[in-house]
Amino acid sequence: MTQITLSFNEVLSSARKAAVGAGLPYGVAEDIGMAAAWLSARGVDGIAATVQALETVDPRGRRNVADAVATRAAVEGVAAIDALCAGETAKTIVLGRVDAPALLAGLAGVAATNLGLAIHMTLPGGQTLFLPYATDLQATIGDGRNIDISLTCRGETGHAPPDEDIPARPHGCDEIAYRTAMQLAARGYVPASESSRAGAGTSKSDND
Amino acid sequence: MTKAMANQIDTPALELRSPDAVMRLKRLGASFPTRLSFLRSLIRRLGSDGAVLRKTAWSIDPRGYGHAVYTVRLGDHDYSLVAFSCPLSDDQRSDRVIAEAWDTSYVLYDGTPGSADIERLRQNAPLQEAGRFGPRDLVLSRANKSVRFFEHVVDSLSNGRQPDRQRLGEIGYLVRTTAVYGNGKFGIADRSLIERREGLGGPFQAEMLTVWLIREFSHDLVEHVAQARSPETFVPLAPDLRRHLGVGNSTGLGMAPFLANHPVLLNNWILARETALARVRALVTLGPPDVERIAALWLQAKRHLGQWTVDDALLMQRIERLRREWDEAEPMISPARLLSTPLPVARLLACSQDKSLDFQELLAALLIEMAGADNDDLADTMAAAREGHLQVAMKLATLKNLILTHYRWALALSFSDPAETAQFWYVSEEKLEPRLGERRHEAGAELELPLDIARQVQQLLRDIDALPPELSVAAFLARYPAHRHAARRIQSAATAPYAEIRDNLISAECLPIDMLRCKLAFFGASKFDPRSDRWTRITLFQGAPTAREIAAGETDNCWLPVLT
Repeated sequence: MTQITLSFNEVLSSARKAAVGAGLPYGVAEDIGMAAAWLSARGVDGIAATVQALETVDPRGRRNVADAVATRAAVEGVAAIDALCAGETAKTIVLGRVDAPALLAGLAGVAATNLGLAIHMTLPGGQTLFLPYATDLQATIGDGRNIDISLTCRGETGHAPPDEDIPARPHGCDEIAYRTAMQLAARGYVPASESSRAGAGTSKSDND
Repeated sequence: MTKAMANQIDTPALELRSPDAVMRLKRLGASFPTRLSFLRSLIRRLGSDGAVLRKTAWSIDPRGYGHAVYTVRLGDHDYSLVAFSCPLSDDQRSDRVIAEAWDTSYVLYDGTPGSADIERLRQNAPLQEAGRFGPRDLVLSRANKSVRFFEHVVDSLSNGRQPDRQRLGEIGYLVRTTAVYGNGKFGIADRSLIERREGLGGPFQAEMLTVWLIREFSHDLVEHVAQARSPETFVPLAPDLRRHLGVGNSTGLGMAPFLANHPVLLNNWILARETALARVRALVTLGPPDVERIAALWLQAKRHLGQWTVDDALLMQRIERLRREWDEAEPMISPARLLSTPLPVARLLACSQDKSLDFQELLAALLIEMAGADNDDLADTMAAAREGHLQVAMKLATLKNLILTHYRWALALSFSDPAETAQFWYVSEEKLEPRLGERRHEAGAELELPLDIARQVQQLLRDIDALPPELSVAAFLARYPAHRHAARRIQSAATAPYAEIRDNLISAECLPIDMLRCKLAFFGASKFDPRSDRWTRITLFQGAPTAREIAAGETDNCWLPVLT
């Protein structure tokens, strides 16, 4: 497996574009981009996590692996985290057979960071991540998929997580996952035309 | 009215101009640089740090090809511009983003590069987007020579004379950048790595530092080539001419959506400028030094307008009108009037309301300049640590109130009129850059970018109205996930009144050049020279103090470039 090194901005924008290309609404794609970058600062390949989640989303954002997956992180997962953070559910929600647990952790981590909430994410076997403070997630989440996860909101943290822990560079990115993300992103691009080229810049000489 | 009487008038509360006026595209497209512009902040910082520029490597051949390194200390860090210059045939020289080779290429390096770093950058910097960079590479840029003028300057200096002043004044630069990349592009360092550093915390400070160093390199390069051509007769650039040589820049559509994509950042820029203007407007009286300063700046602006000519017919008409208005309005700033009028700045601004937007914005920039360092504290408020995030617990009633408070402009539009949806923004497959298409004539509208903000807000409001007001945003978005982007923007507006451009960005009337000019004015650009309604040339640092002058303590007097 070849790893490539991206910047955080590249992780964020690549994940967002891939999600748009996969057919998700732009606002959801924005959250996925942030989640990917958040994960990449905590020992997880955020691009691979995104690609894993987008496997279960068809170009129009509908379910296409319904039998295998009960909870799509990028769809039902987003809504469940929203509901949890809004205080509209029980303090603990259980999500069955989550397709992309890593991305779900990223989405919950970003929400916990932004809203100043303490969210506990419990995995099969009882392992618990304390979001937003969890740091090295790879060991706990890894590449797992289709597992049951519970999220518990324990109210406000009272203080922001320290930024100093964020590394200078994101966790390495699997090259194949990156290529897949770029292929998905390309679905959101429009082929260039003569009019688009002409409109983009001057047609006058630049040898002045 | 005596000064004493004037001082008895209650100072009005700090009254900011309405976003409904300030955030219209046409007004944003009439922006001028101010003391709060980013290159001005950088110059002040370089001055206060006593920054000294060191040329730590100069390996340039007599024709001007090779590499050079310039190092400057800012805050507690050294930063180095690594510059490469190479031959380029005329058929390869293009300002377009699709160009693949340039006369010069640059990286702003974090620290002082060793020989291995320089070799790595030599392999990558000339490739620009096709290269790969690392976390110590802070900014990536490239520039083409203004070929005929560069040669004119070389020829002049090598023959013992200064270049033609008029030509120098008209062109204003030796090299023209076509991209200045920061914040993680192509693997370079993320902004988060440097945003807390002294001197680089403000918006685009690393990028401005890069351009300022490119300017120094361009001055040295032209002198080097001239001296090599004829060492016996060579003369260096006269200091006043050197100062008047900035760096050109060509900027196209790629930059335009930035303002719409960073609403909180845009708010912070505009809010700082409007706060500065409101502070000045609130002055109860002006003293004689203030009045003298206004007169001096008025003359500077008049001369600048006289030296600003463009090929673009529409802008030239505006400039000519502005010149006339500026002349006609000069009695407004007579000392007798300003010293005897209560709230003289407020009166001055009120009198400008029947004049062009260009006049109003130039006057606003002048008055901020007049106040000098009094507003410099606002420069520290212009960065945005992060854009707004979703408040999922908010009730729909509150969200609706935000729309009614901040988006009346959007609700007033009629999207049944085809002109209101005539254009669409998209990402071009060719260079992955934003483009603007005509909906009726171009394919790809189904992939349009969400810059149709007004339309999104209307659709969101329609869906809100069909649901109970006590419902939460979380529940609403579970049902309508397509509104997530718009809901986040609207919530941001609650604390960021200047976050939105209050015009329809997909209307037939939308001209991207207005967005470009707004952003570039905040950079500190002048001499806007549109090549179309979506592409412009500008100059940066023209008339700004050189490294030597900054080291000698000169950091001001560079609002608008004037060659006297």
